[in-house]
Amino acid sequence: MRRGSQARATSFLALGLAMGGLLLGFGQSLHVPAARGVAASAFEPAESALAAVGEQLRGVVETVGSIARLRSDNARLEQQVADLQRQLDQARQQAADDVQLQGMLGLRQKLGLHTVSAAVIGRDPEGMSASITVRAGAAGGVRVGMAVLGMRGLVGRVTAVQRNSAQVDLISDSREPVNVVLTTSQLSGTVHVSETRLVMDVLDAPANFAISPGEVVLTSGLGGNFPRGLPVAAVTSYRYQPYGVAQVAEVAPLDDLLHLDYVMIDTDFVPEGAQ
Amino acid sequence: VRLWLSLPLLALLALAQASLVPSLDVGGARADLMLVFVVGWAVVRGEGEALPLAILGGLLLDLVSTLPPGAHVVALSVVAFGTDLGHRFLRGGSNLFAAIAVVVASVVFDACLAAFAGFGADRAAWLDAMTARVLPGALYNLVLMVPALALLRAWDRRFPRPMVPEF
Repeated sequence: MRRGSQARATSFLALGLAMGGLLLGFGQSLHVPAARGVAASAFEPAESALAAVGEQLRGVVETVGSIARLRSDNARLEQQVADLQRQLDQARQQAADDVQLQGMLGLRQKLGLHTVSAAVIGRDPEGMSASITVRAGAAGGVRVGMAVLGMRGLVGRVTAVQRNSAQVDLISDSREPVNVVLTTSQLSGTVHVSETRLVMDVLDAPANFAISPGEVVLTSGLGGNFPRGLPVAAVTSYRYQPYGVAQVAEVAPLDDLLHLDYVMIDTDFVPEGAQ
Repeated sequence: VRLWLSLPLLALLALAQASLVPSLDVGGARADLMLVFVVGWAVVRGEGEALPLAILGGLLLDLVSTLPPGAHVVALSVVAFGTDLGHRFLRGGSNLFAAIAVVVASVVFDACLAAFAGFGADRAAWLDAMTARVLPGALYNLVLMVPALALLRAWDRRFPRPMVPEF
């Protein structure tokens, strides 16, 4: 310990206390208020600048402080958006299902059929064939060869049956030609796949035969594969070919075969020889 | 000579105390820049070097303050002397000493100012001031002491105290 510095510290303390006491006791006489006024005027520009810096710093500090709260709010809102999106998706899916089921119900009542409804539970994984798997099988009365309908018309035929599921070849499958009849002219033909397009070969067409686009073709019942009178497809384009053996019309399925969620299986009709 | 060289820094601290610090309060707690500087210097250097800074800084604070003149001189001189005494007793300034010193000094400093401001007679106002301003302010000063101490120690290493033979 250095006694010199200790003495100096004590001296300064005494000096400080003395100065403080003097100012506290005789501040008015010593013109301290006037000195404060002069100091305020002299320091005003610097004080203003520092105050502005302080406000900016405060803004920065508040912004930094709000980041954690904003992050928390953001996470909560993202969660809410995700929940709402999920609910919206569910509602949309239910609405789409409702439309399909109502359409199927209308078709069933219109055709007067007995059917088994089934959800589509699988599609051809390789995409090599147009087939689907449905959740209805032998336990529900499904047999091989039964016609399968969507909400607007025929979509395919049952080709294999398990206890609670069945495989269906769609009409867009090249192995599944459908004998049909035109609703206006009653001319018969076959709907089949040709070069990835669904077409109808019209047999015995007269000269200058015409088909209106949108005309619906129905199953003719010929061949015994399908019952008579089921809507199959609608004509999309046709041009008369004077030298053709058969007239060919392009047709489109009445249902979206790529997005079937539910189907109906016509249990009234079992083809001859079906298991 | 060095004391007068520190005058611009002390003036800047006094001005910042009057203009910058009020904008940076945290829940009503405000920092005491001059106090942190004086106590920090007493912790780092000791040897009574902080006392003249305390007197000069106190005078400058009194110029920009509305408290009775002389209040800051007395309060800063007392805390600087106390810290200097602690530095002598402990033969150096550790981080723990610095932390304790700045918290105790903050409480003593604000208690002195509250007394000069006339709070002493009103016990309830005194307690309110202690809980709402003094104790949170002491914590604020404790946080500020960390960078202040680093800067003052760096300054001390750059410009060490000249060795004077002891007789």
